[in-house]
Amino acid sequence: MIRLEGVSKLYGESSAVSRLSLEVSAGEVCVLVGPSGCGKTTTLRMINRLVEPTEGKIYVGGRDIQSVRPEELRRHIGYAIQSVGLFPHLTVAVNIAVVPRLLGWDAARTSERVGQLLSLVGLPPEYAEKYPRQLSGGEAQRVGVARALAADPPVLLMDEPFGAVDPLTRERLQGEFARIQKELRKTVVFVTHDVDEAIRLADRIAVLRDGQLQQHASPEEILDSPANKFVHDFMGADRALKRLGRVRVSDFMRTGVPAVVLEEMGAAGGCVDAPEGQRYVYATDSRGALRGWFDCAGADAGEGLTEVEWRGGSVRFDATLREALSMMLGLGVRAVPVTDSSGVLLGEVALRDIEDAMTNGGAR
Amino acid sequence: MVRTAVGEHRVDRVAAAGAIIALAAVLTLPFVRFRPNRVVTGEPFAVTSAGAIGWALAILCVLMVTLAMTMSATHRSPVLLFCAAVAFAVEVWSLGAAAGSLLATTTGPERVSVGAGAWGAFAGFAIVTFAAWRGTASRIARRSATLLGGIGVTAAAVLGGASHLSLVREYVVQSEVLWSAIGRHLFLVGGGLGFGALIGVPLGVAASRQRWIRDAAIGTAGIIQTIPSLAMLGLLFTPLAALASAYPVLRQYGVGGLGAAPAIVALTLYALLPIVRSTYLGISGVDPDMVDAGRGMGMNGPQLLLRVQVPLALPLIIEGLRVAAVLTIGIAAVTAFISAGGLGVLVFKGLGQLADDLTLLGALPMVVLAVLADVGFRWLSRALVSPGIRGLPESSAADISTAGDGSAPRGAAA
Repeated sequence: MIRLEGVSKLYGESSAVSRLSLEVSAGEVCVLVGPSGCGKTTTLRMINRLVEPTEGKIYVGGRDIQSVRPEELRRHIGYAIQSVGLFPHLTVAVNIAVVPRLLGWDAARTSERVGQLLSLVGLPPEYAEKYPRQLSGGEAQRVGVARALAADPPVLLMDEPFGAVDPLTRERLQGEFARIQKELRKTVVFVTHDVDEAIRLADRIAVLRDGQLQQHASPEEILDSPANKFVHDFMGADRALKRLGRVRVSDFMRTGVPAVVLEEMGAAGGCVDAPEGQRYVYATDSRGALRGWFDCAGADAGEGLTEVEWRGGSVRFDATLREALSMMLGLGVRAVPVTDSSGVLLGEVALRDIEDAMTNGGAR
Repeated sequence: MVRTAVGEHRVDRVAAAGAIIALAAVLTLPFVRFRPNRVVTGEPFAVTSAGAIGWALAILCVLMVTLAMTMSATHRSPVLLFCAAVAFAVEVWSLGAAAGSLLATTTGPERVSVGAGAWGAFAGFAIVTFAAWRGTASRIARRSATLLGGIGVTAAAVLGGASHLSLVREYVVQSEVLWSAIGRHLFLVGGGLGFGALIGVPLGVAASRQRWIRDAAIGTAGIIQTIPSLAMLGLLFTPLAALASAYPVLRQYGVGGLGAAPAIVALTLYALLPIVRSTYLGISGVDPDMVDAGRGMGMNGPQLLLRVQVPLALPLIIEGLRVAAVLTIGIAAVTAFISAGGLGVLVFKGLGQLADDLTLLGALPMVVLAVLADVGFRWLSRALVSPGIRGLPESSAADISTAGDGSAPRGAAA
């Protein structure tokens, strides 16, 4: 979908990007990472001709971008930047409609699209009439993403789109972006200096340093076998943990764990029917929603505990193993229950599953 | 005065000063002058010549001084605002009453004109109004005080016999001349401002794109601004007269050393600096991220300018037009010297004839026009600027207006 061939950008004597070749296939998220000044933003801006390369060729959708008028090219490539870049004098709706208007869409189609996009990024419809200064940082970033998606471009360029918000909001926005991307399957080039963000969102990561490509591979590959010391160091000492950030709990969860419905439980307690070696028995209500668990380790055979333990410990099925591990360490337990988004118990994930995931390379 | 911890009872110094000025003027300076005809100075009369309503005015001044100094801050300003509105009406009534009683026994060319004390009182009330307006947060209070003042002054003028006043008599005699002079003045200012905007806004945009245009345009406009207005008219006389004699057809359109054409050229030149400078500052002050976002989404140059840069620079551009309007209303007076017409004609004729009323008849409408232009452009700014950015770039706007206003007296003084 996007192909860079031997692209260089020189500013006077110094080169911002040198002899960079990169290919991004359709529907793939390619994250450019590297320290500041490594040329990642310059590379991104060359793809929509905001920066013209000194040498080399760039193809988007098989066409040499030099053969397309810059304005025409940009109207078919979504663009989101770190400072969001919403126009303060225009309402949210008009901001989102910028590219559709440039493309000459009629009013009805445009306003219908604005409505779709607001709901896609999780903003209520009445936000259409707000001005950017009435939005919080996270809301503004969502509008920025909606604006980039407005004309349904096949390609998205995103320059640290979640850079200017607090870590909690950033994580939520990343999660939403992953959800939207799963649905829309755009070809995305995404610039960030945040390694965790890269690992979380990327199908492929391109690590840059001083304008030169160090490694271009899947996150797993980069974490497992960094091409050189720079990549190794840049990924950080906690590479193993970062790998767990790629793996979903749902892929490693055990289903069919023992559970008792509290309302139907006998006087003997929850551990009565626990299979040998099973330390925890989960307690649910009649709907199946998790209410707590029994720790059967201290129970003698035949004598169960009736006390339900509850320390708020559960993870959602779409959480990562890294989050599950963090919760186990925090609670001092060896397994945590997994629920769906409404709290219904699905299964559990145990520490030994995570160990397996680490040693086996996390075959998904 | 002891400052209390909460500052509740602190004196409103500005309002108190205004009220004291009004009181002193009413008590010590001649309130009106009785003149045997329209050009001699005549003899002074005190406020007591107005009778009971004159005493009421003096008492009202004392009341305002007392309120400004003793009332607690919470309700002081609205109360003072209403007092000032009433005071304006009472003074107009007093002037009419004084003129009526002094002229009661005469039938000839005798006149009664507004004296220094009455002017001083007007100035004092204006200061009180200014201070009280600032301190009054409620829009309802502001509007009802304005309404009260307007109705009160009108009623006082009609009922109190303001028609006896010299200025009003002069107006009755000169009204046709005055209104055509106002029309002419507006034509000159409109021409200068219109051409100034047509040239200045594009030049300001160009200045934001090219460094050399910026240096050339703002430098040149700055030099023009330093030329005294009378000297400017002299400098324009020769080339325009030469142009007209070389191409006589141009005379049909009024081109020549004298008349409206050179006046409008001069006013255009003076309007340029505030307009070019504010447009330049406005456009170049647009956040580079906005420009980047616009370009990145596929806007071409004109689209970027019209949809992003100009709307964001609009508060400053309108501010430049406002400053230029106030400036050219003053300078247009001077163009009376080259037969361009306008309110300057009345002022200079009045000065030449020692007829104070005629001078005032030219000068007062100019003040009113300047105030209306100021208010009008502020209203325009509120109406046109997007609510999303309203009130944001105040600091830079203030910079320009002080620079522009600083040069205004030069034009008026020339």
